[in-house]
Amino acid sequence: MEDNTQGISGDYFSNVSKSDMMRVVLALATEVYAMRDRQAVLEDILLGCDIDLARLDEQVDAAVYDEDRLAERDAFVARVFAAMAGPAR
Amino acid sequence: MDMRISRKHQARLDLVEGLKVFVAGQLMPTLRQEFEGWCAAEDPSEEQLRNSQFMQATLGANPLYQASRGLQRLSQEAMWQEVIYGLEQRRPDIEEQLDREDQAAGSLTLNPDLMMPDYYDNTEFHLQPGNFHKNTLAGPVYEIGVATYTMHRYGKAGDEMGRALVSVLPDRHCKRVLYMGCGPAYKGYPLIDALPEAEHWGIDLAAPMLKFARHRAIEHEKPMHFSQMNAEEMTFPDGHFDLIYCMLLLHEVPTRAIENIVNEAARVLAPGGVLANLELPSYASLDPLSAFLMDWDTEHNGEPFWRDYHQMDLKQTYRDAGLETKLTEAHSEWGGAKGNYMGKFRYHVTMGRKPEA
Ligand SMILES: C[S@@+](CC[C@H](N)C(=O)[O-])C[C@H]1O[C@@H](n2cnc3c(N)ncnc32)[C@H](O)[C@@H]1O
Repeated sequence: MEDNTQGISGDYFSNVSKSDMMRVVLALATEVYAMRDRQAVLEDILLGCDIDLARLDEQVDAAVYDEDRLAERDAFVARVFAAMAGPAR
Repeated sequence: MDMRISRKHQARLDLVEGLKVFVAGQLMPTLRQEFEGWCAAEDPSEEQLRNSQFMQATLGANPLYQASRGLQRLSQEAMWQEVIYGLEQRRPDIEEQLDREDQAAGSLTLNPDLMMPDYYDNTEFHLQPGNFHKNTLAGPVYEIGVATYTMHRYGKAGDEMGRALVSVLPDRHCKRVLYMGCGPAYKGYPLIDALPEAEHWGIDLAAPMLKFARHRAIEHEKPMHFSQMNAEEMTFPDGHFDLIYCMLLLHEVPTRAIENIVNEAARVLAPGGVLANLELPSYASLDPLSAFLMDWDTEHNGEPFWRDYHQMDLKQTYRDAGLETKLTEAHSEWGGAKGNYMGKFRYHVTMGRKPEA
């Protein structure tokens, strides 16, 4: 094989529909906003109960295999990027 | 070695790995299905399908193909960025651990005067910033990066490649064993377990990788001697080793360096000794779509020698070095049931035996 370069001037996504890209961005923004809201409420509740929030910033072993954590993550990514997985609309 | 990062950094890394799982698990199967449908309708010849210009013309503008390649590239860039971001917070602490001397079994010999070959010094392999030798944290960065890159399919200990190699090795008593381009060396642990009576050596060009390898080997009680050397020109005497192996080394060096390494290995092998090289499969042994996707790494994943390696006749290089040779396949958990970003595959192990004197 000789050449396997991409579309025009290194734009990997030149033919991916902008609408699908925006669907991804919107899905992500929705997730982030809902999470921020939930987190703020949660931290308020916990502080109200005098609970120490230090665990939020604790150190964990890097890249450890944990099926539950990773399954949740896979579902999240699939939801956010769903627009890119099907044929172009 | 304490390689913890903060929960926040791990979450960022998890997300990046999730992108790789998405590419491999959702985009690739859909793309493959679409491509197979197209083949059934258009009936292209095998010769056309093996021609990268034809494949590029067929797939280059396909949105699914573009999404898969674009996300693969972005996830690779983001992966190193996030690993480094996470570990950078702990740099002084990790460096202090790496520099600590230890009297445990095995050894570490560094050579600060060793010249780095241009092909090595000028490349950031698989896009790892600073390559293997320019960042003192390269060892931990590589180990965490590889676990993420392979989507945790290397088994919990990250040693499945070593287990695959052990499964195809000839049954043979070994006094001394050498792992060339060992990096962090943990993929060699199954060989230490399988050949506990042997003295195990690991060599690499990169001091940061060797320091990490030494530290990790002590922690896992795998006695091993590490030495900083170029595999093209080793300082071991002739006929010193009964088994020499490497994994994912040869695709990262140019063809003339492969020839040098194989010749050098043949020199330091004892008569009757074996050279075993484990790598991803040749293009010719893969279906055309997988081969085309795999070839993409050459230009887009910091693998300048990938294409030449996967198209060369390595068995001939072995024969030219005076080795009797054969190719064996070994099961890959990484490329097994679920497939990775370019499809499913088995490892190729090129085996060479030095004739008895
Ligand atoms: C892709 S890594 C593989 C590391 C290890 N075998 C593994 O699979 O985890 C390639 C390794 O080969 C080393 N390397 C590359 N060229 C080399 C050479 N000419 N001599 C010795 N080591 C080399 C690199 O520093 C790096 O650690």
